[in-house]
Amino acid sequence: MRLLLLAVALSLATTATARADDGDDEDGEFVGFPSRSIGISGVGHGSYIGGISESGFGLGLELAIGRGRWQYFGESTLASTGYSSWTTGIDDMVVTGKMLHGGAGVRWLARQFRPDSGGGFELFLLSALGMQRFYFNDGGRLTRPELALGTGFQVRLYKRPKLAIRVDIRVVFTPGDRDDALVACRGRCDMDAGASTGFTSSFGVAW
Amino acid sequence: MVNKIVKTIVALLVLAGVAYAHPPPPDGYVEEPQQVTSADDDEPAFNMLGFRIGIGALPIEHAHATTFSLGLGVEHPVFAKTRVFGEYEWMWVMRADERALQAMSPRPEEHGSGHRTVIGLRRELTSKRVSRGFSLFLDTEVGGGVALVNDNMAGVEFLPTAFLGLRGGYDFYSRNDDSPSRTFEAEFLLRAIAIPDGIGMMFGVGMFWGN
Repeated sequence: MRLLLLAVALSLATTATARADDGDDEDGEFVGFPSRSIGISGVGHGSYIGGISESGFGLGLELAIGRGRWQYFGESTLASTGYSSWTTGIDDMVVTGKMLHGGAGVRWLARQFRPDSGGGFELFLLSALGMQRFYFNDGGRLTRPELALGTGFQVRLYKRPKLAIRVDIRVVFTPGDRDDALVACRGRCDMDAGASTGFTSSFGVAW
Repeated sequence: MVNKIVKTIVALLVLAGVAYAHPPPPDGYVEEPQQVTSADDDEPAFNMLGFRIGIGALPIEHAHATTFSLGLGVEHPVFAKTRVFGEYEWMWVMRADERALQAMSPRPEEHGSGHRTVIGLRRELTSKRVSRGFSLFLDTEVGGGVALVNDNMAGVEFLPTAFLGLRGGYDFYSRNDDSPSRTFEAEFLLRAIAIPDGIGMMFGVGMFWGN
């Protein structure tokens, strides 16, 4: 008797859950993000420090937890950085270094195109919070927080090996160099003020 | 009490089974499809959502400024071959200062960022159905909007904007009824952008998903 009641209750709960997952989707249900995944990627970044642009390339690592159309991730990046620009003076040396980044964010599956049941082509939106730490070879050090908003797409296999090839691009907001939010700045990074909105782009694979 | 609950559930299940086993007879009513179809009646139209990355140039204060942009866009079919669209773009703006190239010490770059919001109409010029699930297209577009650019040296600029453009690309259609998006579109865009100080250009690559 109790089993029967339990089965009915479970059935009703499952139906309610299915409706909740459907959301405003009229055609088909989304194949949600995997419950756990790891991703590696090549990362390009660029921003301004003291009115001079910095940019570089590196490698990123991501650990993520999926819940339906939402994916929560933590990430870290180790990248090169070059601190000069096309307006750098003729006698000025290019300063290089390394950039370390760590952060956490959330990705939302906005669209999913599935030619067949084996895989799909997906659009996602994302936001993330993190910290950047610069180690310049001339001794300059800079630590600053960042807020990133972005979008991207991925080709994903829903069956083994359940691989996703992903591209994303983000607008990265960091405080200006004279902003109080700047944690530490030594060396050349106090040359000029100005908004410092950069970008990050990555191309990688997750499974 | 429990017996009554069980009897009620069993009765409901039986009724549900009867209803399933004996669907009501057809009454002759046929519901019209909701999707807008093109004139040649073989390409359904969808509400679209997607993004675009672009590179361009704008004559802000009569000086050449290079722009990079990341935008989100939505589209809605209003007529057989015409869609209305809206876009928001985040822009990075850079301006060359020739004097800085000869400077003895580093000079700050003239750079900024901005927002651009536009609405417009897009009309199909020609299309070719290559196969059942794939077609090529060439469209034209016209529209207007506003941009707000914040430059670290020139300050804030409000820029009314009008544009005329050309889009080309391809559409994939899914025959999988379970697919949340029935179509995927990839395109390039070439757009002439008029602002008070002159005419600029933009080239973009975008991807859009239908509902």
